[in-house]
Amino acid sequence: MNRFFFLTLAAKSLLNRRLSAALTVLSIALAVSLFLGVEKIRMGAKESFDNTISGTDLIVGARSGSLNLLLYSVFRLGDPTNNVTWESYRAFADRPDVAWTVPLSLGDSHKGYRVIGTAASYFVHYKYGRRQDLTFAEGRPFENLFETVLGAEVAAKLGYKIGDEITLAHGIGSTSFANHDDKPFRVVGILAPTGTPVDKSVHVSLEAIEAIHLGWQSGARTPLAKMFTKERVEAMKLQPDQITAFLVGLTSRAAALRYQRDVMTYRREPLQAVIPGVALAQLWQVVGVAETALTAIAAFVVFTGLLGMLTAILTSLNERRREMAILRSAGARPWMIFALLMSEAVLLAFCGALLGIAVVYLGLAAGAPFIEAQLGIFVSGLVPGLYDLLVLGAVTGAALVLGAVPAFRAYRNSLADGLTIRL
Amino acid sequence: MPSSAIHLANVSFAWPGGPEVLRLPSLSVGRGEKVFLRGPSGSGKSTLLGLLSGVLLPGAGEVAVLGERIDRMPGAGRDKFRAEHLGIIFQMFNLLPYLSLTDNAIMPCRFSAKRRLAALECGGTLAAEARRLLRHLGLHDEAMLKRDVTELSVGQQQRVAAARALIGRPEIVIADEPTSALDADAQTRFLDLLMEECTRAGAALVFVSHDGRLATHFDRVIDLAEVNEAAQGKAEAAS
Repeated sequence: MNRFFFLTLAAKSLLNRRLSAALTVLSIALAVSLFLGVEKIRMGAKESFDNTISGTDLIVGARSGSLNLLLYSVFRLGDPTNNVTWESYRAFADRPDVAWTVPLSLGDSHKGYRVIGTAASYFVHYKYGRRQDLTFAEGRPFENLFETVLGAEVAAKLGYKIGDEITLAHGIGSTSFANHDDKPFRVVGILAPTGTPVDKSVHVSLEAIEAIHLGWQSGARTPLAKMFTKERVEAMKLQPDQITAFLVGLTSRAAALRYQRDVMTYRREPLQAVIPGVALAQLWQVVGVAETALTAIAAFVVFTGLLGMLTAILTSLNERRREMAILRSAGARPWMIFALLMSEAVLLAFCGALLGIAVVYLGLAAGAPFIEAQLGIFVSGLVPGLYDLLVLGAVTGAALVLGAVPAFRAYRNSLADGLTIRL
Repeated sequence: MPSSAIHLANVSFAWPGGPEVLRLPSLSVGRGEKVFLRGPSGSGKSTLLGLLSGVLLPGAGEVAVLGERIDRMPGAGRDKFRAEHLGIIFQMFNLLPYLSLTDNAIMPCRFSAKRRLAALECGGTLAAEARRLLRHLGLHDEAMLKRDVTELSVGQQQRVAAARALIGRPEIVIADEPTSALDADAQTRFLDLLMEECTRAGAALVFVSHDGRLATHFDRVIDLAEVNEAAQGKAEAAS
């Protein structure tokens, strides 16, 4: 006796009903690909989020909260509460264990996009993703006072090109009545897209931030400001007296905790230092609730797909009573009838899950450039792995459990019907 | 001394909670004997076939097939016994649409090692044995063997069913109204071929039909309505 003949029968029987079988496989495949798609995007989003900034050991700013510091220095969201004096910055930047620092000065904007006052070191040391450098799509870093480098999105959305002149607005709103329109900036560089908040930033030098605020007090222009004409300012030696935050790269990562402690216990000024990875993980926990909900919904979709399969098999049972009786008359044991229906369910689910996984990876491969450019989510690095195997196993296992329902019914029918066939 | 193919003694059967539908004091079929079992509907025909094939168990009495008390066997044993010793032909729609004609014919060899070995002994390969039987049953056309079973005429389908019942030389063939869907000419032709093959294989044939015209072809005729005392009682009560 061929104990596995039911497998042949299941495959042939499904092929014979290929339209309904294909539809069932398709619905499971869609459900699985939705589930995996959500998971992949989620993993990609998490990874991209974690990689918003990389290569930086510490972020130092005025003492507020670590999330706040992270938000305004890296994500360019929210408002800095206080500044860091230039002396404190120099004190921590000139330590022997410091490899580099990037100062950041925030507070101005251009048409809703944040303006970052920084130094040339920004374009060298600011890294994102897997330690990727910022690259220039066009032009070069700023060298002169009234020059600016735009993030990719700023240039694309506002239609700027090299050589255009833009004016900065005081404050962070998209409409501001206090404009620095007497001192326009010339676009000298446009960065390549990164999928990070850098794309939404307008970069100028620290000195330029200083320059446009000469003669300003408490966020408003004083009559004195008129004296500081563009030409006169360019001739001046400008020295910023405070910045908002700075990024630190250490010569050894091991020094990060000691450096952080030194910043926290600095007596001259209340400062704080955060380790980006730690702060990012904290922030992700806040965002993570939505992520869990999304996963739950996707899991339910898979369950719905399997229920559809169960319905399809159950409704086919009645019209297949004759088939079961024929098999029994030829010598098939009742357990084979059970196994036949079980293997049909498992075969359908397995093929569906496999197809779904294939669809996800093909889709990701095809859509990766778009997803990365539009959403800033890096998905091209995702390869089929253990997780997909687990999903395949879970879907097949669930089919095994659900398939027992029609299989048991068919088993009972075949015992009751025996060899009599009711037309 | 070989026992008879089928021997029933004092068998009675009733569905749970229902009246007795079958009471047979004695019914025997010899080995290789061809018996015409005339049974109008309601005569307990389906019940009798269920008992013979081991799908139903009698309420009382003995059911011996090939000398073995199948009413004492466990369910799995009866299943195995049926697979090995019985070939069954239904009235119509005997074939699985998703198997090829040949695969339909050799199906019992998938469920019984004994019949598989017997078929291999006769034909060399299962497919060759199936082809041989089909040829003997009048399906000569090689091209037809490749056709979908759903494209066959009813008569052709019944021949495939007969080949399936006969493959692997089971000792007993039970045919339940196998010709009722055929016209008169085809009925006779089918019956002749079936009898011939049963003779060749040495199989006993229990041919069930309500149509008495075919009875002349057989060794013996059993009128189920007469031997079934439960049905008689019912008939008397009705008259």
